[in-house]
Amino acid sequence: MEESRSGYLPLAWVVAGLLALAAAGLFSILSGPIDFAATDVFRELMNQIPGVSVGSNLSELQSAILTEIRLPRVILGMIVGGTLAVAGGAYQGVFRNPLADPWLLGVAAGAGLGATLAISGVANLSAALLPLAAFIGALGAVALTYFVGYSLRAGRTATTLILAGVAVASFLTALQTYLQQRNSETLREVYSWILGGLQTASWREVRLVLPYVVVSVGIVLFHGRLLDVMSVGDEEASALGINVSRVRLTVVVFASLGTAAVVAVSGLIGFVGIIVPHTVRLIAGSSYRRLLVLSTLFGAVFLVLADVAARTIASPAELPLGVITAFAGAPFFAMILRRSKGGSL
Amino acid sequence: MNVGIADVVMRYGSHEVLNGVSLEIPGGSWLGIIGPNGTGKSTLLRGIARLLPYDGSITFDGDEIGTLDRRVVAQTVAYVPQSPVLPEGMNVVDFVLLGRTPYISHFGTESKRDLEIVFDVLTTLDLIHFRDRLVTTLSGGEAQRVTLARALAQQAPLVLLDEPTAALDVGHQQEVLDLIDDLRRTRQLTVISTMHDLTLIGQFADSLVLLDGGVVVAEGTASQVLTAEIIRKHYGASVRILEDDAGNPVVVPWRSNGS
Repeated sequence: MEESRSGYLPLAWVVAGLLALAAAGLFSILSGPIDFAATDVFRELMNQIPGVSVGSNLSELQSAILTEIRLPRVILGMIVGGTLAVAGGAYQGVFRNPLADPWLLGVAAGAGLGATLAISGVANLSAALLPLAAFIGALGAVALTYFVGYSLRAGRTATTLILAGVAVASFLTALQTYLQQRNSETLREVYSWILGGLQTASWREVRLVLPYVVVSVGIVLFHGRLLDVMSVGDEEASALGINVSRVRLTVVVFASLGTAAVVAVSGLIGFVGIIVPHTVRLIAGSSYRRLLVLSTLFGAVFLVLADVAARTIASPAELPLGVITAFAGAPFFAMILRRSKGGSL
Repeated sequence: MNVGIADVVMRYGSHEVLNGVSLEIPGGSWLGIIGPNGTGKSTLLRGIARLLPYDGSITFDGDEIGTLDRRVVAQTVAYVPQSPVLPEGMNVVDFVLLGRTPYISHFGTESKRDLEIVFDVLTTLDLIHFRDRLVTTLSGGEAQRVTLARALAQQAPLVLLDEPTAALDVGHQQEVLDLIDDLRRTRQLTVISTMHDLTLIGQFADSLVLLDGGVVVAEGTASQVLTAEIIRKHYGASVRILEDDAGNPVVVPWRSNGS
């Protein structure tokens, strides 16, 4: 009976996602100005597992490049991509809007404002506090959106919240642009942060975001069934015993928390939260029990591959990752849409 | 299950939609709520399903619904809206399985038993061959039956139907109402439905309540409520009343010649 369900997540799909992730990760580690043999990389990776020692053919420098530069970058790329994708999918679920993602409630605008404050020195913040400033800016924006949305007389509907988000995002972006123009000496730096990237990736960033991401993605993934129930609308979901506004608040809070954490270390990498969930939806179906898990896995795959492109296309220069995700993502997405004949958005 | 409604007042903003409605609905009976557009029929149903706030008292077997847990209410009342939302990419099995929601813990998942209940309901309603179909590909009548199946999977003793036949042709209207009547008898359900078709609801409901201006203006059996005078007064309609074989009133719109 279980097989006849559209909300059933076949284990094989998860395994396929994990294999794709491993392959993308290995490909990314092997890509770069210094060539490594796959076997050497494999040995070095084995050595990273506590209690395992299989010897190494790599020099100390090579080993350091592998374990201190490429590996954390790949891991951070997976974390950022998976989080952005699952947060987008979750937002689309609670707002029942195919264009919803955390950007819509002001996450990007808030993070941008926080980062600009830190970089331009207006708030006397040291550069080391940039991630914190972006993080607080992102969460502050969502809180403000909720406050504005709930204080409107029109009621606490999904549409009211989205409209409040548009207002908050426009306001914060205006503020951010003003600050950016007033401090034109840091314009380039602010701009580069806004375009997003993983250039600064190290284990420190991984450790910084991991706790937030594990908690928030974990909680969001547990909401798959509830989001499926909410796909029949607020009223019918309430009649089925769901506390709709509480589920919406929980999912928004944790999807935003995870997004704020990854945005703080990677800048504003757009499009992942829209393109990955929709691609998964077109291929694997709309059930959120499938969508959230597969979006996490394939969001990670997508960003790792996009990062390889960002590093190698104009090597030795690096292209902004946000440019790559939109540049590669948009045509791919259009192709998927065409093939699905606009069937199930 | 007995439903008690006493002095219920419901508002949209400052606009009072229901202005002191009191009703007693005995367990196992079918109550039809009729009335012109905008008189609060659907609002009353939403109040009974606890989907909208109300003043006054609504009780299930004496328990005030405001004091009941959200899930207990959902295990007690199944609400079928006038135009159910049919989600993209969801098949019939998963859609009907949504009816099991009140029995599944917050982060839990459907059990084998839930799936068995769904397959039983689909078999009863002769929908089993539809089980793999996406709900968005169903016709109006099929979608209505599938939504009814979801309500039955909810195993609630009280079923609220908001215009269950609004989107259906006359054949499917009779089919769905016969089905509801049959289920009501075999499963001892209490049914409350709103309807615009006065003849049909008179043929199926045990009693009728006519709402106008947010208050009950007539109640009783179909023959007591469906009279030409009452319908002229509250609907502003010119009708004649005939009788079917069972003695139920048949309401026929009547156009006076040339005037």
